[in-house]
Amino acid sequence: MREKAVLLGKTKSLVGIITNPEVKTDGKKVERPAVVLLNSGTLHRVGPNRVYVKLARKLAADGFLVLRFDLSGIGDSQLPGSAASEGDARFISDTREAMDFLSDVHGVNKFILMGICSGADNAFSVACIDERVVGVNMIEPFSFPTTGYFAQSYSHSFLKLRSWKRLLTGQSEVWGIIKGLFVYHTSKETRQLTENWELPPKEKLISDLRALLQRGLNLCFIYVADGCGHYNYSKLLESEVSGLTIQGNPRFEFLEGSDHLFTLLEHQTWLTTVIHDWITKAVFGAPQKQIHEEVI
Amino acid sequence: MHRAYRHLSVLLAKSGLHVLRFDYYGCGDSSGEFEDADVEHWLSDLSVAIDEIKDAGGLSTVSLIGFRLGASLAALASTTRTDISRLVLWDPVVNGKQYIAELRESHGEWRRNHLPGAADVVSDNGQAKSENSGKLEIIGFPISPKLHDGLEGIDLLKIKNTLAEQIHIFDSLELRKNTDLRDHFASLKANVNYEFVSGSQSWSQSGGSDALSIPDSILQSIVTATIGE
Repeated sequence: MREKAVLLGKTKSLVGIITNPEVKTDGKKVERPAVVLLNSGTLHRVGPNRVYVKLARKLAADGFLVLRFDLSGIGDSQLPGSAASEGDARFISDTREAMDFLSDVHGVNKFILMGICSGADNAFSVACIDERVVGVNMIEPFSFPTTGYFAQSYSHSFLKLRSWKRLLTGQSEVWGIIKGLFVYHTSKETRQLTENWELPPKEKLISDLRALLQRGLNLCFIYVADGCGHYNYSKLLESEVSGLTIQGNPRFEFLEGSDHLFTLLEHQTWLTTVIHDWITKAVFGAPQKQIHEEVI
Repeated sequence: MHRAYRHLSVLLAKSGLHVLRFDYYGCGDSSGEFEDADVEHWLSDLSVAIDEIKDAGGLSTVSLIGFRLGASLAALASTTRTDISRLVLWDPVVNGKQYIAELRESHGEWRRNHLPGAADVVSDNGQAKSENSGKLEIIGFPISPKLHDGLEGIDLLKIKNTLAEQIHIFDSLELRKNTDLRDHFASLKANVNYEFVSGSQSWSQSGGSDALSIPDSILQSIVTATIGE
């Protein structure tokens, strides 16, 4: 496995690691798009629990050129003192500059973007405006808090033996949960939380999604259910786009029992296996099919 | 932590020092898998890094700065190499057995917080093992028997010598003040400085162009200690 540190971007202020593809001898002459892994929150380019490193090496072993790099102000990359743009806009321009670098240096003109959490959101945003993107794998991306989400979230608590024990021993949190449902729906903090995350309006997301599918992009949404987060309702999104699905694209995967960052080893293995399966089918044109039952 | 180290490197470089940051085998960007890593390998990596910066900078001696386990490895390296002039130990891991116990407790706590259904299994037998493989796992990292034993073998209070001329110990947690380590190094006739920098106050929003929180106060103390002022 050959890996190389690179400086990229217009001012060479972004730091990345290129993982070069291993030569494939299976006779398949498919030109593979390069894969770009995008920072998850403020974690640097190795990703949570180093899962980006594992993923890059796994994909490179299968013939993909992979870049994982730090956006401005994250990891080893500088935050320009006179940044012309802030936040999301800067991250989008950073990502496009990373794609420019791969085009200039490695002659690649097609890209698959991937990321966890904010990395997923960033990947989606770039795909919407850059036609070089042919695939997006979004791990724990945006979603919309609804009553269905809360019902799903709290049903975990109601079904647990521990919850009933608490109820019977007078330590029940049921009233707290009921109260919390109302408070959460209406609180200033909730509004601030969603505003800070800059969740796209649902109608905008569906419209963008439709446009990406019409462009022929391969898409994959991966969600987990940690029972306490903002993310456990992929079915809602899945139902919104079910009418658009062709041969399993977009693909939806859902992992029970994992946290937001796939911390446990078995969950990391599941994640890299699902992504590898998705990208292989996306590049070689095979129908997408959920595999999580087999993996677990 | 990565960003804090980057910031520290910039501060040290601005002070005129050559700086090298590196990842141990199986960590960060470096080659290898964590499950194949062990303490002996990491000490060898550290030795390679020392030789590299000496060669690149035309230096005869180096200062080692380490956080937690990195500080422990730096202290161990100073027992055999004569070219380590200064040690800066930031919240060092003094006792490996205690460290493993803390990591296991953290793993159990993590599971209780994130995966309450699975946490009971772990806490009942006191083990932090991956459910599928049976291997020891601590918060997403596989711990090989060799690494486990190597970590448990670390006891800085049993170091019999250090060749470093100057040792600085910085602690940031009230419950983990390493004054006994200071006293131990002093008993070895080392020149030791000890400073407590409150952890709860030391991580702050950095000014200037860096947006992420970094522990400004302790980094400034480390720079001062490293440049020898």
